[in-house]
Amino acid sequence: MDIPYTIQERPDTGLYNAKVGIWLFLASEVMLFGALFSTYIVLRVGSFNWMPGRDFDLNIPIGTFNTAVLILSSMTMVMAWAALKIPNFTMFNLKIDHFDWFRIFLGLTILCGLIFLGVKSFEYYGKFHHHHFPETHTFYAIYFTLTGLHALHVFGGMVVNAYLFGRGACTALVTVALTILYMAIFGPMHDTATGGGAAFIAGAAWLGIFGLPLGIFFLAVLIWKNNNSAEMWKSNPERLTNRVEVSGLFWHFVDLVWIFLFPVLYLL
Amino acid sequence: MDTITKEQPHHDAKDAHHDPMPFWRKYIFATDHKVIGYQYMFTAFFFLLFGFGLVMLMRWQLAYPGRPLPVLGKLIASVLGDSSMPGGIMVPEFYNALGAMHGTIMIFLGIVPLAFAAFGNFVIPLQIGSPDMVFPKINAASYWSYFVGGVVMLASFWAPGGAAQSGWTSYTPLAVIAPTGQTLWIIGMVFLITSSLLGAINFISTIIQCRAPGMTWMRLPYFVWAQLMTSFLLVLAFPPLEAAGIMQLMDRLAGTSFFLPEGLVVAAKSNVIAGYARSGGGTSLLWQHLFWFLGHPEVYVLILPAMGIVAEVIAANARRPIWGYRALVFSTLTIGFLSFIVWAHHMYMTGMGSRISVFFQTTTVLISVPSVLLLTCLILSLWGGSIRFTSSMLFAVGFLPMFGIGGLTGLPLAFNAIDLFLHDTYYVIGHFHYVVAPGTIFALFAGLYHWYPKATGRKMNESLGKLHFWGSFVCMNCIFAPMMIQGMQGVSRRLYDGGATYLLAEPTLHWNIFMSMAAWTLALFQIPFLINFIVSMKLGEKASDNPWEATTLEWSTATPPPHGNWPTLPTVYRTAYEYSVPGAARDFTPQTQPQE
Repeated sequence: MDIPYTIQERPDTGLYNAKVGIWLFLASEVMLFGALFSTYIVLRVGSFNWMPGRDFDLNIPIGTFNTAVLILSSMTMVMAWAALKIPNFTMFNLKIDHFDWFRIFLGLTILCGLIFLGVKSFEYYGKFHHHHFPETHTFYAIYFTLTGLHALHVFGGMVVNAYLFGRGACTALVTVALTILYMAIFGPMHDTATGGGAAFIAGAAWLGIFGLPLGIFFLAVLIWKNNNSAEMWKSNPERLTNRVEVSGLFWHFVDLVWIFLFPVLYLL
Repeated sequence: MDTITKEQPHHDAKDAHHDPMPFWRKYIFATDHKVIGYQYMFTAFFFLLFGFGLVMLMRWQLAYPGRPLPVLGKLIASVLGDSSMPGGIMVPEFYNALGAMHGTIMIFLGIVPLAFAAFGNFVIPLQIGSPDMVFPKINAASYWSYFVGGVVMLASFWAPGGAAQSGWTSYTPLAVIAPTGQTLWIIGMVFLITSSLLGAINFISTIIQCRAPGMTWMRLPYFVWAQLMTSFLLVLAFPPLEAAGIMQLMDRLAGTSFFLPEGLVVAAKSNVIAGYARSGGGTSLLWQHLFWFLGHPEVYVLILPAMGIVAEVIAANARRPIWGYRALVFSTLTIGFLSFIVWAHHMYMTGMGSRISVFFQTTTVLISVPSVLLLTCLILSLWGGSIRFTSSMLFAVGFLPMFGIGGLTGLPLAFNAIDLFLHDTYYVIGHFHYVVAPGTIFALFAGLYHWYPKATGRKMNESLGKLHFWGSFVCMNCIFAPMMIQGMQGVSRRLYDGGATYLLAEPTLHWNIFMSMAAWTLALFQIPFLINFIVSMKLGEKASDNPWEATTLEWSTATPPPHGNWPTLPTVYRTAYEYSVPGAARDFTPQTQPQE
């Protein structure tokens, strides 16, 4: 016997199962970030000489830009869902299919996520460059903890969206992330070790010359060919639409957390 | 799944699953809620025994401080190295690790997985008439996350400096500067929190979405209500601990000072003064607030599923409806709400201010009202019943006074003036163990004896069950009642020698050997249970689909229930406990029987 209401809504609750699940998960996420925001308040109120974020070298224009990027991504996320949900969806009178609109908007959402994380890494790099670490000051401690945890959530949302874009895109995203993580962790290590620097550079060059084009080729093939969503769109369109809605709810939540984070850390 | 849409005849344990699923799909990476329930049960039982073993070691040190433990001591020293029990004599750090890990393992790896996850997984879909949990794969992920958390916790015994030593509460700043075991403790906790979160979301979604046709909210068995409230507590209370864990991890690894006050100086073991020059501005109280924000709802996570099990067992064995079903339900909801605003009663001694203490004292006294209502309803349910004293009923009835003692001894602790004296003494240990050990664990045994026939098709042996009950009942009281006496004498709970070098403890010191003997005897009385549990699977008396003549839905399906639970979804026509209805044909009317 199949589990009821996986796709259709239950009449008395008006919800399908996954929607109940994601809202409960978001409730727990509210408690998680709520605890960290409470920590921020307790630390700030209990401090004799709190230095707000704007007195450190937090860059408000960059933060504003990132806020705009995330809000834009929330909009494209809704459009991706609408493209699947609204019958005969199209824009600008273009003769583009539902599903292609969906992939365009979802692709834009993922792109916005990438831009956000890129800008965030740039900001982190600046902090580290000026020797500002979590241990430097309690403000930086809460700054790195909150933004780091938020960035993890952004990445999580991107992985799910990439999976909905097509399984290949998900694999590509995770592969690239693991590579960057590897470089970030082992790069500096090799650099400082005696004689390790040369070996690391040689390895990186080897990877760059042969690995990178090959990798990009394979990733492109993966993204193009491995498209489970297109299959589901044909066999079970409602299920795909629901998945996009659930993923979208999480994405909006992540966006919302940032909308609180930005003024609290950068402006107040 | 589709194989069971055929009408199925009576089942034997062997051919319950018609699908030719390979062993590893069916039992290892299972998605069937019943199998995941069994997985949880076996793993949690292992951890319960393991955690009990840890405290039996501690009791040796408390009864005979500084004396080498024969045979076993040398064995432990050879496995864990000289930082544990060199020559069989326990070192203080190892004693602390045993204490911290006993608490952690019993609560997060033993009772919660057994009471919440194992019973919840097995019973909830059967009682609400659902073919499975709504998210079977997430359910499996929940178990495996729990498993990994357990492995990390066990592995931490081999970490340099031993397992976590800062108590199950991991109070800062000590926990921040403790050896590596504490880091593993946090990582293990993150896995356990994830597991509980996934499980709880699954349970709530299942109860909301998958109730069978006709199963309205007020027709739900009380057990389901209890699990629903427990799930909400887990969803909302665990994340703050996760946040606190992340911050403690940052303190330990990234050099932040969320929980370290400015200019902290700590005398290290070698008497070298180590100054902790960190970024400053942290506060240890913050950890306590975040920890107890989980910690107190957690108490109700431990007790509510037990209440649910006891209600089921009492209704089926007293042959009459639960007294005050609605009162039970609304008390449970009230407890759930109030449990979020009582946490700081664990912190009267921290100097957080008397006004805050007064607030939390008030809410704590308030929460005792619905708790007493629960107990009263269950006791009144026995009134006028024709009680069958099966093993499960003995445990359920035994639960009532034990939980009563545990609850009533908690009242003095709620008042901050009295708590100043009793705080951190053995009185507190006695109090909460009465709630959790002879309380919750008895309820768990009641549940095991009760649902065993549904899971295996055979009953457990009654004589061995009664031996198990009476032995455990006497021993439990012999362990925990003397703790109250010691506590009122003022003996601190954290003394490595049990108070031998503590003048104040002198008049009550002789209880230590008595309590230790009782603890070891308690272990002996678990042997009949283990034998009974294993042997009855093959040799127990065969049970019908409804051996206890109970009304709830799980007894209306085949035994053991097949994958998917029912050939077609059952329809519910009546409330959960229609026992001894005047004019009815039998003294029980199943929920699936249509109204006349």
